[in-house]
Amino acid sequence: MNEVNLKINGIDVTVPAGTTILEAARKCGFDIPTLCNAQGLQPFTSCFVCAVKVEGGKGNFVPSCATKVRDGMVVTVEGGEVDKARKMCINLLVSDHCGDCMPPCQSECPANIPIKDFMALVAEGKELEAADKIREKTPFAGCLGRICPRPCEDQCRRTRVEEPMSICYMKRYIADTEKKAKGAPQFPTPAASTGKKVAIIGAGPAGMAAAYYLALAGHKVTVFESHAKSGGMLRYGIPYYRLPDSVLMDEFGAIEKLGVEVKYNTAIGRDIKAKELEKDFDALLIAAGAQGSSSMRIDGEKNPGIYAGIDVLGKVAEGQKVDLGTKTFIVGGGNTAIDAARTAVRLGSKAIILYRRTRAEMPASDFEIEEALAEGVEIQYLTAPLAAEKTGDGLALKCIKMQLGEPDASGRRSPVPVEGSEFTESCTSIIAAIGQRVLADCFADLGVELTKKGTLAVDPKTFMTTRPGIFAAGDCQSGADIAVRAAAAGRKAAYSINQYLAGEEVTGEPVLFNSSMGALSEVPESLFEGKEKAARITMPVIEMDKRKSSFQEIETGFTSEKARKEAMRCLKCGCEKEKDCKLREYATRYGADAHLFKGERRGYDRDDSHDDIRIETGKCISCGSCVRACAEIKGLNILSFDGRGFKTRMHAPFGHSLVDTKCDGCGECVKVCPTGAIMGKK
Amino acid sequence: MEDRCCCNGVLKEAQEVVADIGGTKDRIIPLLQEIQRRRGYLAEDLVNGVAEVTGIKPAEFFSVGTFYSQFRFTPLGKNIVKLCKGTACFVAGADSLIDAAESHLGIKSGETTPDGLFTLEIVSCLGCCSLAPVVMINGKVYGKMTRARLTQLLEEYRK
Amino acid sequence: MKTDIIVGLGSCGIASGAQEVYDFFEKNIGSDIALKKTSCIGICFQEPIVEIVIDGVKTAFGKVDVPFAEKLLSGVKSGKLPETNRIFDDEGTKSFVGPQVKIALKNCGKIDPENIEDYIATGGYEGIKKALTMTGDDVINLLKESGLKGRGGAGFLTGQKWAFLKGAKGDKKYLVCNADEGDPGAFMDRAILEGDPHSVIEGMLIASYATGADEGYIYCRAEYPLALKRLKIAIAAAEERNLLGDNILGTKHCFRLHVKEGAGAFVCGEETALIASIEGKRGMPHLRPPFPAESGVNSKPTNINNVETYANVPRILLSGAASFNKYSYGQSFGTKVFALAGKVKRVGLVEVPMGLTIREIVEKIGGGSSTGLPLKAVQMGGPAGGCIPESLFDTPIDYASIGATGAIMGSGGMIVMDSSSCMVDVAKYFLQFTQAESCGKCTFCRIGTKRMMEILERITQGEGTMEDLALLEELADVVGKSSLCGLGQLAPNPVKTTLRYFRDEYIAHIKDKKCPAGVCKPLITIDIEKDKCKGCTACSKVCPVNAITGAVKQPHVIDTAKCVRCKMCIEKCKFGAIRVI
Repeated sequence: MNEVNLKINGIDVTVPAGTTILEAARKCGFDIPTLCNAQGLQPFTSCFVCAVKVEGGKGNFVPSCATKVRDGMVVTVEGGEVDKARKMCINLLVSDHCGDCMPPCQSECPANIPIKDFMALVAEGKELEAADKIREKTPFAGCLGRICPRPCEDQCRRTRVEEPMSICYMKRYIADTEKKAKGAPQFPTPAASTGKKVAIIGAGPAGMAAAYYLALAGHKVTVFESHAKSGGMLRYGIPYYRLPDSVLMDEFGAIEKLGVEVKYNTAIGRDIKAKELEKDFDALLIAAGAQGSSSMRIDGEKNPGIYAGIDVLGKVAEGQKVDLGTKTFIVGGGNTAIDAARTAVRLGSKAIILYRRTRAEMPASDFEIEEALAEGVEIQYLTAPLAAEKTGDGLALKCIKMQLGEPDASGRRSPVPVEGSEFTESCTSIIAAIGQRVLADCFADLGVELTKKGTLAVDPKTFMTTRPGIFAAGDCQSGADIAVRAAAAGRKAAYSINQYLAGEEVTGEPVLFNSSMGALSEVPESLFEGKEKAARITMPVIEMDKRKSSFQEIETGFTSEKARKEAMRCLKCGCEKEKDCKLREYATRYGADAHLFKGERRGYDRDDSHDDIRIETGKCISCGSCVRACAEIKGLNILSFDGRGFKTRMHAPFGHSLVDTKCDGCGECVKVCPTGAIMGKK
Repeated sequence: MEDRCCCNGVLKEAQEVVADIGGTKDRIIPLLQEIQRRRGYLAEDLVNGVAEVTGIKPAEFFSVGTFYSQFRFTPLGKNIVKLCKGTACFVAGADSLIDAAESHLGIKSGETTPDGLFTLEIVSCLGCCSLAPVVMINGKVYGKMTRARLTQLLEEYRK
Repeated sequence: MKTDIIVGLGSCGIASGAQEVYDFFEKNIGSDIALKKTSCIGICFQEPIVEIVIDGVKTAFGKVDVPFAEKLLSGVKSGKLPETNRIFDDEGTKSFVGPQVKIALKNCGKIDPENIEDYIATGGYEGIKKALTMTGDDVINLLKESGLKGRGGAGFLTGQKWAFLKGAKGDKKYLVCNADEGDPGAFMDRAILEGDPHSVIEGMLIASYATGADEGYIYCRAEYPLALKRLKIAIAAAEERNLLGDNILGTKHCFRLHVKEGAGAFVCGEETALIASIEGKRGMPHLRPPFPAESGVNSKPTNINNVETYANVPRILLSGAASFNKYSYGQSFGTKVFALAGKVKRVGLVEVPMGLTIREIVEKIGGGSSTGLPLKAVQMGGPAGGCIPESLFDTPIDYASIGATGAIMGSGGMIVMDSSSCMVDVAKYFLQFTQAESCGKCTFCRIGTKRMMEILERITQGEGTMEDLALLEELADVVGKSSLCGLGQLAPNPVKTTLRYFRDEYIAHIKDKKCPAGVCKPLITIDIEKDKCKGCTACSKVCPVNAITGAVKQPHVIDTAKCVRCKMCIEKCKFGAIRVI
């Protein structure tokens, strides 16, 4: 056979005549992506992601799957404008692609915990495997499974059937089950020692999550903690009635058993200089949290009997005696305000929350507000403090009524004082729970930059600060936020630190492209057709008089029977082809953006009628492979093109369901589909 | 599945169609044109009948039928109003005429009025650019159209 | 005394009332006068046109309605034709016809297209007779020498294309005539098919002899019923005279010709899509190579030319290459037919020699602006073409020169626009067209043109951003470079050229939220000038949404919130009191 010489990205290649550019490029190691070029089918040249540039001519791009090599051809198959065009091609494809890659609960979870997977394992009674599954993303199933504000459940599709899955508590159930069966979390065996040393400042969820993953990778980790115990805000910001000491000890303590050394009561700046750590260790992670309290900025704030929310919670956690007297005002509307109020109740005080907006704007979780109200906490909305004064037997708090004005930058309507509505009330103590800030002075000697908010500035992908080798994660980097986000940041920072220590380019944990059908309210009703209603599991709680008088854990956990039944409610959202979808692979590789284009997008449409094959037209990218496979390989012509142009679809003709055709379920179409648009039913 | 065509009447008609036009694959478009000429649209039973007679799969007819704008899968109205949106007509204000026809008949282009009297279509060019803007009703071209004249004309066809 | 009355019955003539005029003559003419029909002569602004031929002396009358036809008939009978409506006495018609050179349109409007004898009487089928005395190669060389290029848009040398087919291996070869004239605003091919169908048939016949093809298709769009009818009549007549079929004119040459009626898909103007359609498939293009000359209809070697290209061929055979290529500019030879339309005084079908400037066509032939507003641009090449601004009107008609402006010669659509056209809206219009006609096969055309159109929609609605504009330009570039076929590759041209010459209009829409031409509805307000309004109430009566109020003889006002900006009030106002601001 004749041989042809050509140049591919500067490399001289000799291939037999009749070879396509795609084949020739593969031969010399270039992986040109292609979606419509399926084995056993003639090239069709519809997707154009395989387009390459051939020198000469009009300078147009040609599909490499169908263009034959010619002698002397000079081809560019990747890099520069070829990659740019390819990225645009994929951007266009994903702009008209309707489906979820990840289940929405998982994509909504800051730690991307594989919820669908652990639910399936619980449903099968494999709780221990489920615990391993969760640990791929976080070692804190027991802690987070008690206190997480559960953003995942807000997006749970089951909500459209009746109520969301009980995702958060299921993690607790899994952790508790493992504890009962094995006595402690069953961590994987760490890799062989790398000899590298990492210092971590802070033993909270961010720092200890990082310590866990770094220790597993074989690094020697030393954690510096200013408090006497680990857990950070999980311990010192959340009362024991929600997250008991024992659970913290179990999960954080287990990480120490992996070989992580925690130096307690060691504060940076006071006991050791940050600069010294930099000298003694190969990498440094700052995970010091946001330990400072924001001021109420009112007169008399310094009076005795006025406390910061996290200080009260911290003292109670440390077992110190706190006397709030008989009537406490708590200023603020976040979870800390609620926790402080409920703690005040337990300390024997009447608790009244003052919030300057209304319940609708309140940042605290709804169910926590409900629990607080049930315990007798009062909330005065549209009220702001003006000044506090010492009186004979306590304090006098001067307040003013507010009303809601125009929306501010955050979209919430900002409160405006109502003139002449001032009033004064007496109390025994006041707790300010209006926010926390980062105390960053002790890191000044490292020379790392801060953001305008006063947090540590990092590259959002790698969590590396402006100084190479120094990383930051958790509240000190993000500002005060929820624990699961801190734990996730710790894991991601560990990934980058690992890369840094290995001398690799620090790129951060890979983020897979994710397509979404849209917010919960936008998802089409057809998705839920035929789903039978099944009530959400309820969490049993201890009696009310015990709740109000002690710090005993309120919630008692699920029974196996009920938990497994609950796990079966999972709708298994997300795409079955999540892991081997070519479109997702290329979209990730070329950094596609699902939201680059606004405009019309195909809707979700499903033909689930056939026993063996499911068609989800929303996920189709109109490459035509299925229609061709059905015609060229099988000669059946069951599937048909429908329409032309932007609205071209592939399905059975005349609007029939697949079951009403002669489809024998051979699955040739499934084999050639590059996305999850046509799937075999196992 | 069971073949959807099937009473003898349809099969006989399908045989006539194939006898007239031919039954090879290159005749798919003329076959569809003939079906539409007979029925006013691509009736599924006759398409399936022709598929059975020719041995060409229904999906092949459907693929081709949905590609070309000439073919319809629903019956047409009694009066076919084609609004030209060729360049000359566009420059001469075709959009305003489309607006007028749509609001007067209460349907969007491509649709048929519920009483089955009018089908409205936008066509790319009727080749009568010198008379722009142009409207064709039941094959007859009306040039230099205005909104007022068009609504009047539609009322005349209603009678 | 021999008298003929000839009525022009082209589509636009019929649309202007020529059929009624013809019917009147038919009923009242009597037996001593012959009634004939012809097709479009191209002077569309004078339609309907009637010619009276008395003993060989022709007098043509324009804008003939039935009452005038009565006058004409009595004039014929009394021997005294009316003095009015004589179109060739009209200065306008003179300057319309003056600069034109008719080669392809030689017979249009002169002969009865349904009568083969008329065609033969003008030298018809002499071209093939001459060709049959030559070798195929000689015919091809003659074509090459003439410099005739494909008139469908791409402008490839016709003789060279034929040589490819002749050189292709295989015993079965096809010829195709692309008569799927889909460009909105173009009707050159329709006029030729309706007016002189035999010229196309003869052109194909000559090509078949030169290349060795023995079967051909004329692929004609279904929207041209009259052209289809006349083609079929012409083919039957040619077959009857052994000008088509086996052993043509006693030679060994055989050529069978079929008419394929298109079913409505603009993309079928694309060679490979057209072939798919002839084969009975969806009109989806495929990658070239292989080119049709290697693998076309039924995978056999095939040559495709358009109507105007074939129509030129018999004339070149008959009169020689020099008679054709004496009209030249650069590497362009002969003439080009344009459908001149839009905002010029005289619209119609014109055939001009290469090298004539756009300005000569617009101002001399077309008579300049019909609205009194300044002319702004000419759109050439339809949806694949571009907008050439007034400042470049001195560009000559020549493939290279037109191409340099960013537009294309195209198949011959030429739409003149005045200052009342918004160029962003024009770009959107063309993109809407192409987008709706995309076959949907390749990603860039299927989704890319859609996204471009959506961006243009946002801009014309005042919701566009500068980021949108940057994305639009990036898309225009990549869609042009990466689409599978010409439709997608050229689809961004209207956007590219308007951005090149009228960028300020885009910026005005985006930054100032203004449409300078007063077209884009969300960006304009209709206002009544108090001082000019006489309170005649005409505007309030015509307003479809009752947005205009005011007492009789009092200045009226428009409720902007109600106003739908249909501008009907502006058309109605006799005092020029209503304006767009």
